[in-house]
Amino acid sequence: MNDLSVQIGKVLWKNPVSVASGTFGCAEEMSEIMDIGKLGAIFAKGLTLKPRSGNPPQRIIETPAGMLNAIGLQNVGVDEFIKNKIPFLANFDVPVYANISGNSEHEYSELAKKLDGSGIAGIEINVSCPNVKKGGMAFGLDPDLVASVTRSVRKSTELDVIVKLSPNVTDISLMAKRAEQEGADAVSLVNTFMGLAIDINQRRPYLANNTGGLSGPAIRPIAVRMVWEVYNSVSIPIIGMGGIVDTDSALEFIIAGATALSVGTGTFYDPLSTVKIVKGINQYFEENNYKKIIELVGSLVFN
Amino acid sequence: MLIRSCKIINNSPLSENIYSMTFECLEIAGKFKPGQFVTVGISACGIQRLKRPFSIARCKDECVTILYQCVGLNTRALSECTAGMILDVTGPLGNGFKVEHNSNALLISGGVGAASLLALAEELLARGNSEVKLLFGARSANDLALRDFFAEIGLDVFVATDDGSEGLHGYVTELLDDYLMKNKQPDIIYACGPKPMLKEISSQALVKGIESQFCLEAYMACGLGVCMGCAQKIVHDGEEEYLRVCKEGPVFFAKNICWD
Repeated sequence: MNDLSVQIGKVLWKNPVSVASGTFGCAEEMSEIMDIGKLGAIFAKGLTLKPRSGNPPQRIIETPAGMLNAIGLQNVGVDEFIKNKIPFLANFDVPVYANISGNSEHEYSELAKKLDGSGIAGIEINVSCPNVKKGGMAFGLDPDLVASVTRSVRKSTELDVIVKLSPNVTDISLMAKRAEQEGADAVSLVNTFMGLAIDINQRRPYLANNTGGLSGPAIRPIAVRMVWEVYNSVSIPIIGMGGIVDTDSALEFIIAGATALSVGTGTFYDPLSTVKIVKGINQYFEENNYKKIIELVGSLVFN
Repeated sequence: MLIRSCKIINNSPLSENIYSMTFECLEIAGKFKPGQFVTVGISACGIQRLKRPFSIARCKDECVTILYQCVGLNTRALSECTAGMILDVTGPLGNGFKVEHNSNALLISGGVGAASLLALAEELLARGNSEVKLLFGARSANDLALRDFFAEIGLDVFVATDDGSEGLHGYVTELLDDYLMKNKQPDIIYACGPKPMLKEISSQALVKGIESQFCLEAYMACGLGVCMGCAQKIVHDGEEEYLRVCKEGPVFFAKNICWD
């Protein structure tokens, strides 16, 4: 195995392949079927201060080359996460990031304070969940709010801070720049695109929440383009995601400028896709004689 | 929970759009309990599609059989698979039925829901429960393909069809009314079918104080318990919460299910 390690903020990942928040739970279920230790990092299920019951069903619908979801941040709450999920996540020698959502700047900073010193590697600020009525994406669509939430969290923790950006904006690189200016150690992109799928027989949306977040290969080319734009705008590392299902799609993101990547919906298609991608990247390195991931990051030869 | 590539042994239509598919998987067949399910994807289909959940109808001779209805793109693609092709299978998933000894059990199915009751019926009979009956609801006489599986293993089957082309003219819930009037009250009801049917059975069973277990269907993305997509509202000791059909289910006690 080549050295596939990447540096994200203060944390060294053994390889660039992570799992996206909300697609891997807190690793308990997945540990039954895969070697969690093979992952570069884990982004745990999104957290709020208090437990959330989530949206009523129907919560998901498959769409061409992807799916819409409106889970609504169902989660056990930050206290339960610290007490009962982190001890399990700590078993694998893999950096763990908590993904946090709040209804106010204050809630984001409270979450960060609680998680500081809890044994995780860092915090991913979710300002891009399209499926909750308050907070979530509302913060991610306004550059001033992205900046102020990042600042609040930055002040509340010594841990690495990663800002997860919404693609539902005109200029995603502006959001990335503001996050960088406020001390973010990295940005992750993209979260899901807001979408609507309609049952023509009922003339109603399939999802009880009406709209949902679109993920999967359907969004990949847009996500890759956005990673390329952000790469040209900031100097902090990018964790790229959006429809990665195999080695080729993972490499697209790295070449476009992502230092690391996350697999989300790809885990639903094939629960072992992450492990296969790590192997595949290693093989690509051998075939092309690369020594470090960073050689490849942003190496796109633009026409 | 196992992830396996499984060879199709047989995939054949039982009626216009109901199919029986059998694939090889010694390990899943060995671990399976009635009420559990598998998710199935088609390796060879080229584009990415989510695996779909199917109740395991029966496990026999190191093989797993699912009985399914063509309702959309995925099941249509599945119906076009032929013997020798390879499926991506994850399973067995979820919790099965809690099977009681020597109980007078009544099984109730709506449509293709019967698929999740077949192995249960076999298990009940194998455990010496002589009084096992099935109330089988279908749209019409053309949709009775799955009934024969139950008749073959010696179950008494009562039929209701929506159009009256066979058996009682009406819903299977009306058949249940009729059955409860004329027969000894069952100790337990096991059911699988559309939500409105289950809701009606639940209220009838509650009135009569009959314990009921329902096998639920839900849209799923992962089937592994991580996406939280297949939520069902469940009440326990007055507390309502969304549980996962794929993990805590698909079988729930009817009294715990919140009907919206």
